[in-house]
Amino acid sequence: MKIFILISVFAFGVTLQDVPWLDKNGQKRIDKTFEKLWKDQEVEIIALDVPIVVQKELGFKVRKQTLYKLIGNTKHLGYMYLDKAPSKFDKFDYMVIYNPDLTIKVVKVLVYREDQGGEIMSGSFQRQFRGKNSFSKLELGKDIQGISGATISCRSTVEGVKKLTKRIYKLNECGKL
Amino acid sequence: MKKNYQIMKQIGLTLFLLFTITGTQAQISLVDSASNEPMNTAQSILAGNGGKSITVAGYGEVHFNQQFADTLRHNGKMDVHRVIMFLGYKFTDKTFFVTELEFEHVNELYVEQAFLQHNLNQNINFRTGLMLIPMGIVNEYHEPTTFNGVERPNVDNKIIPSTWREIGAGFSGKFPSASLRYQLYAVNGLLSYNGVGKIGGNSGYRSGRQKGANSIFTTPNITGKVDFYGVKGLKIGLSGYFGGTQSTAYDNLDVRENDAVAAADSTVINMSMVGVDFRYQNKGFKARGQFIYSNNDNSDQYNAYTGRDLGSSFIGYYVEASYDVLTLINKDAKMELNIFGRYENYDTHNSVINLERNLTYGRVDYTTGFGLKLANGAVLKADYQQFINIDPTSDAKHQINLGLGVWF
Repeated sequence: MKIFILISVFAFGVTLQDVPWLDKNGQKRIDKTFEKLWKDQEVEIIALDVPIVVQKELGFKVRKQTLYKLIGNTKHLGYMYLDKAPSKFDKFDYMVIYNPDLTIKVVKVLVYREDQGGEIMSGSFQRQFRGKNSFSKLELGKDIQGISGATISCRSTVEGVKKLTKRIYKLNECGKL
Repeated sequence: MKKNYQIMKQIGLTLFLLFTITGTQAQISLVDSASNEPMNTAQSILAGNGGKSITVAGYGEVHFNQQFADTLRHNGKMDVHRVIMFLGYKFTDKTFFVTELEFEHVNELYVEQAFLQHNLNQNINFRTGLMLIPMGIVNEYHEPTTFNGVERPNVDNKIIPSTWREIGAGFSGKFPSASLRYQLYAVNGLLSYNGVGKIGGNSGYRSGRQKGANSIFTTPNITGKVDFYGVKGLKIGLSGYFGGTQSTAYDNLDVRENDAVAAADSTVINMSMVGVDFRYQNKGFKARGQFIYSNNDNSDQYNAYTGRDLGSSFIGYYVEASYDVLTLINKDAKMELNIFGRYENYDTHNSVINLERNLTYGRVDYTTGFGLKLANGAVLKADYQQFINIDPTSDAKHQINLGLGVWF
């Protein structure tokens, strides 16, 4: 059966390839994740733009081409939030996919550039975030088990996911999703 | 007139300094890749690692050791054991350089790492320079907040000569779908002979480390490690190191002189070291263990030529368990109080050839204590150690250690 993934040009005429810091490996991992999550479905990815006035009110920035609404067969599938987080000497790219009720569906490290700490790309680590929301406790070593030898990157992932999850909740509260 | 000249000179000097500083900043001004906003060096450093071009990090540990015995009195030792600064520079998204500069015991300066790494693709990195040998756990991960106890495990001192680093080149990378990380390097070997024998039963391989300082090279060694981390909380490593030691006896050697070649060959040990390790964590509970076996081929010839007492094989292992007791009192505690116990067993005379086995080289160590993590990257440690020789005529030694460790 043929699998369709549609990366649509919608609201602001952008595609994921236009995300300036996301390279083709990151794009590939997004495609793979979508294939796994929504087989046989066309997924429309709509970039959300949050006005600067709102960003100032909320107290955080939402960079362009980082927050997307996901639609499949006219059904709301959820949201995708892209971000970077620090590893020991570099930054890695990751995404969080949320269900429509803003619980976490998937956390995926897209591009990890360093050698040390690359263990965070492991499914067993990333799966621990599933089902968490902005009210969930997310502490490394307690709620999320880290990986020996990748402490910095594990902590960075946890802090990053926590940050995005709180932000998307606030954006939803003020009707910007 | 003279006063005016001095004022002019001061103004000129100030302008020169301002110009120099401004010029330097302009030359190395950096750009935040995410926002495309220019950054100067200070901002970049203050921003932390964060993917900017320059990264500064560090760790350090200060120790107090007090050995005691029934009849003998021992002075305690207070030591700024290590203060380390990491400096990294990222040339492009794929190429970066890392240095680790170390002050040991305040007045000894070392370069522990200085390597260039280039990312070939998602799965393969090329690395060359002064790099850590990936044997066991602590040789690679030796920041004081990553291990229990004031001192590193003795297996990582007597059997693996931590911190073991040499110049070399090779590949490293990961296969995320298989939860595997690998490293494979060709490196310079340990120095076994430079007029005198450098390795032996008492200090093991430690005195043979060349550390990249005017090191002698005669033959490459191969080292590698594979880590599997596919099970939540568990990491298992398999490591190896193979090759001949380096010797000055080959320098200016006429290969037609068979006796001289045979004599030089007697100064070389063919090492085969293998190791397996694991680390496990589940909430407040953590455990780790390591097993290392090293075969020293040609040890009998080496000992006969150098007068040393190198065993034909080394063995060492340890197991350790710890529990963060603060999780019992308060699940949301920001600090950690890890109570731990470690059992170590190691012997640099595990086997000997044409040599009397020295039982004092075989030891069993018990370590128990705690580490209070005040914050991520800051720990206070205290422990008690008992060292028992397998020689039944030898008395056990006892030691109390206190220390602080930081990593940022």
